[in-house]
Amino acid sequence: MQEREQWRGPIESLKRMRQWVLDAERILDGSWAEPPGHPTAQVECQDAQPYNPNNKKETYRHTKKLYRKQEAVTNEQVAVRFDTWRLQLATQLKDAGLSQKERECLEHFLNVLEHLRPYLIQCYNREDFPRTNNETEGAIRKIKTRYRRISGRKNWNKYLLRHGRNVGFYDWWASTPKRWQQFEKLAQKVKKELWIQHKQETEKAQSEQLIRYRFRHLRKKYLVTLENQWDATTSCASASPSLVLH
Amino acid sequence: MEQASEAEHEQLAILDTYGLGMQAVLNQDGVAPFEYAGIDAYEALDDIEASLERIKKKGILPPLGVHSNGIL
Repeated sequence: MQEREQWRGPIESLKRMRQWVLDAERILDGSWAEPPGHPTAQVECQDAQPYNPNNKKETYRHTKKLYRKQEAVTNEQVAVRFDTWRLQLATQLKDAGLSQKERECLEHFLNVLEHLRPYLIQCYNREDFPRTNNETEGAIRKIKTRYRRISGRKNWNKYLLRHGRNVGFYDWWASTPKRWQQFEKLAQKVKKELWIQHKQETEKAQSEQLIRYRFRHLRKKYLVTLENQWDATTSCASASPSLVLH
Repeated sequence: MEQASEAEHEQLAILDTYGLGMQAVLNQDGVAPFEYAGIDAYEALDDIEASLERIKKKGILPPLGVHSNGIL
């Protein structure tokens, strides 16, 4: 029992540190918000799709769907709560009783949150938008599976290289006829200049992606192509004398 | 500021591609012990260096050459 005592301090410290992560998760999952009008279970059941309660996967999907329907948080609300909590946590750094290790960990944790902050709280105003990394990966997996089913190919590398981020855009807009109609309406209102600007940005990103792929997988061949391109530029400008650098 | 000619512009674009390529090889992942990303990156950078040496020998347009000491 006495041997156990020497571990009490480190374990209490670990528990406190774990609580920081749990607190952050609780703020970000939005479960603290009251659903609007507190819908009754009866209303929920009428609204929801039938599902088999014995199937774990279906039950999970059903619960998540209901939770999303009742979700009433906005980016602003989450941001206010998150920032207040962060400031409160930072005041602990002034606590003289804090151990050296815990202080280092808290500083690191606050730094990570500070860096992530601009990108972290963006998803709450959009319905059906993936909330977590796990959900984002699930959404990507769905696009991949659909492509493999349609094309019969084992992987989707060529599809991604050919269409870039349009793959994700298409999958989102074409997932339901309603969304596609919405897309058509929106597309009619888009200004020509804005359309051109976005098209250029998308093409640039896709072209960079392709270059990265070539450097990683077809490097030798691609370097020869680049050297040939260089030759072409120097021969075109043969009127000007070329300069060899030292 | 003096505008770059078309040929200079093309050369700058090619150098830009090399820069992007270096960034790509430095950030690549590998599944150890089957692929060692660090060794791959090392070899890739050797290839890129050799290629840059070759284009340096082929010649650089004068206005670009003035500014290319840091690049090549």
